[in-house]
Amino acid sequence: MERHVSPRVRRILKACIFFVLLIGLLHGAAYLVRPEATVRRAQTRSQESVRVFEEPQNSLDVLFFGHSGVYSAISPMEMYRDYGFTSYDCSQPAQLPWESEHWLRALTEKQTPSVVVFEVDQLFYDKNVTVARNSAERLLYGVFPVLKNHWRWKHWFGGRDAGGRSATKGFYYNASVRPYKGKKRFEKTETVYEIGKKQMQSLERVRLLCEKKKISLLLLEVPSLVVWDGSRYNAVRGYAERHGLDFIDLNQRLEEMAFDWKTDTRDKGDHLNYSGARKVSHYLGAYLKGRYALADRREDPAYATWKEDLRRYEEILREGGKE
Amino acid sequence: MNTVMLIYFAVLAAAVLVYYLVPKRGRWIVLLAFSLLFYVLASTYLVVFVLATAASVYFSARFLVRPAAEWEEERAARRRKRNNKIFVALTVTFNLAVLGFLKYYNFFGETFNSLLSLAGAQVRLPALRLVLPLGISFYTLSAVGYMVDIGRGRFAPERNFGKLCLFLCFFPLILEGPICRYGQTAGELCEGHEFDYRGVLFGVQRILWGLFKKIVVADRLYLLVKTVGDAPAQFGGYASVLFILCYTLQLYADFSGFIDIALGSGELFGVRLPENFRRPFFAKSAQEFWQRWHITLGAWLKEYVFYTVALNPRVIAAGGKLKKIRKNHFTKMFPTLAALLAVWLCNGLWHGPEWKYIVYGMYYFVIISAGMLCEPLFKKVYAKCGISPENRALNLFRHLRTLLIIFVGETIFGANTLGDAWIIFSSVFRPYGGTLASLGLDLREWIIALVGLGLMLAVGICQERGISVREKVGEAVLPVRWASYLGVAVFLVLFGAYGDAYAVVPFIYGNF
Repeated sequence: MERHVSPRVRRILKACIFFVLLIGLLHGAAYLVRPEATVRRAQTRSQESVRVFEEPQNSLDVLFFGHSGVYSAISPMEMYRDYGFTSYDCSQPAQLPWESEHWLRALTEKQTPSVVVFEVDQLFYDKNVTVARNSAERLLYGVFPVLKNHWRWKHWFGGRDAGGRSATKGFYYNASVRPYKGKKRFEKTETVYEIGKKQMQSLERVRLLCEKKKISLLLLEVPSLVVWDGSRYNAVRGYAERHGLDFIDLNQRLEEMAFDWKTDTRDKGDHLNYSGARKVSHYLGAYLKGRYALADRREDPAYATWKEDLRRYEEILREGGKE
Repeated sequence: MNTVMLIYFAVLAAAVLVYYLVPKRGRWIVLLAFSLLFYVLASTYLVVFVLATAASVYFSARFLVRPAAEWEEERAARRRKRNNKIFVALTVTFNLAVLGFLKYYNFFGETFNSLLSLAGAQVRLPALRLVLPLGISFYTLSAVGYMVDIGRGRFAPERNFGKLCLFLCFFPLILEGPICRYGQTAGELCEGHEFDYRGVLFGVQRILWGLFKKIVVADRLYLLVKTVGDAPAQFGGYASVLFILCYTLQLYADFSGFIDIALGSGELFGVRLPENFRRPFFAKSAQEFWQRWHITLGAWLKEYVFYTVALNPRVIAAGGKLKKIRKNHFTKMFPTLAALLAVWLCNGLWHGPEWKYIVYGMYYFVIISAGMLCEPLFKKVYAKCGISPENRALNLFRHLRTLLIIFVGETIFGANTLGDAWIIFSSVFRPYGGTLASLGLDLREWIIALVGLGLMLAVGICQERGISVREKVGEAVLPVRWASYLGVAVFLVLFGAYGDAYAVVPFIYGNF
């Protein structure tokens, strides 16, 4: 006996089947582009930064965590060339403190760095839109991991990801110049920015983890006059003093670095270009080397891959930034 | 993906759900509420600007319509008509002044300061940090059009402020248009539409296609455009040629992709919005290109700038005087040329406060005017040589010539500055030794981009031949239909240039 099904019910059923199929296909696709377990635990979003997991075990002396300001301003390869220690930029656009924390936890399973450098701008990503976007993305990536890892389709055709290590070590090369012309300068103030509770808790967990693993923690602010101000400086300085941590605000050391906002930024003061990154890396490299007595790996045969990567890095600079 | 786009899709999904749950009479209120919500989420307090625009045109229009009393004399009625004209002009000026101040103050201020420096004066206009409300260039044009149409007595003014607000800030329109005319769209928006399975299906289909164009093609080509466009002096030869081609294609895929998303979103509510593109690369002349590219801007400029200038008694009188001096094709065309000059100046300026946009507008003014002025000459030449205007070789030549005009024009438009545009053009014949991968796209990315462009071309050819691809897919048997939808969706998710492995691409037209 034929059962009568109304067109509306049939349509709803069809739509359900369609979406089940779509979700199934997306999960199938997610399996095809799945990264290894440690990478999944790190919960990173960026393709370049994920390649830190391709570095040999216990081979990194310094890890830098932070937002796009980090991968634009700090070139680990410049520091290796000049001072011999190894490092990596674990940074991605608008990185939040808890993302840095997850990443650090996953990485310390594989690496035993001497220093963790925590760029402090991420503590001030407390606008509702930023946090909401980040939470929505995490939720979406949790349900549909293919949205995060889809770029790994390139693995299917071989190529650079199959090769592994990043030659820039997470640094983003960009030589274009868009000068900063604003008049704003860093001004000292008595006001203290109130860092968000969630951000502060995350920093606290990072500090405790570093303490437990006997890693020195350095708080850092890279040059960025567009967002940085005296009240933020006071907030970070207060935290650093309370816990006996080192803190450097590079905005107050521009002259020592011979930094010039007319030539060293690629987007009018928000991010640095290669010229700015060279100055920051040189200055910061000298500081790290001197302050934490980091070993020189340049002639160490166990670090031969770094010599090879330096050659590739210099090639990239000659090619204008492309591998 | 751009944050605004994520907010857009979240708001769209919620709006569709609520729209069909609410009784038909109140459905326009749902659209208004979600439009305002979207505006606040994307542009926060700047929503006051769109509300101020809506209030200005609403109250002005209401003031205009006061019907003439029976006892009113003819002279009083004439006075009222004159006053109405002044009132329309004042409202239009107010809205254009807000747009002009926020968008162009710093540009004209800088230019003015340069002139003052040349004259040796010490006075300077201060540079201001001005914020630009989302979609101001789009909703201002819609508001001005509404006001002028009311002034011309085309239709009665809207009595409901909320409905007028909805017309100005309907969220699929606010980011990149299309620029709507009140008579065309307001009725569609305010009428509560029944749930139509086919309409919703077609809406989803169009949104998918728009996303495909934007994410698979435009955002991928952006990698090359950004690499070469940011430092054009470092490139040359084929790299410059690829920039010229890729920028135009990126702009088209980005803008028309978002228009597809907007129109598809409208279809989800049963609202039909005006088309903004009609396969522009198939045009045979610059004039035809502009009848196929950003159609609603062209239509707006034609209606409110071209006719206003061309039919202005002073312009007609000036044309008449010129004809008396010498009667030829040029003097006959004078009012048209004057109106075209105004149209292209406005077109250039509308795109942004930069000299490159003004040059872009003038570029098309010169080309289109030259085409019109030389038309009699071309006809004579064709007749003498015995070439039919529909000759295939001639048409092919026209196509190629128009493509060249388009690519040159869009390079002026897309280069960071006029100087950069010049560097790109002048470096085309200088050899470039870098690899293809050094331009920002490796071979695998190129393959995906070419697959996307190939698909866009195939769909374009079908549409040009009158075949509606969406109808064909919609009518296909279920397995074929589902396979195409699922195929496009999975392709989009896997091969889209989104996420942190790719750059966050701004809406190109969202900035205008």
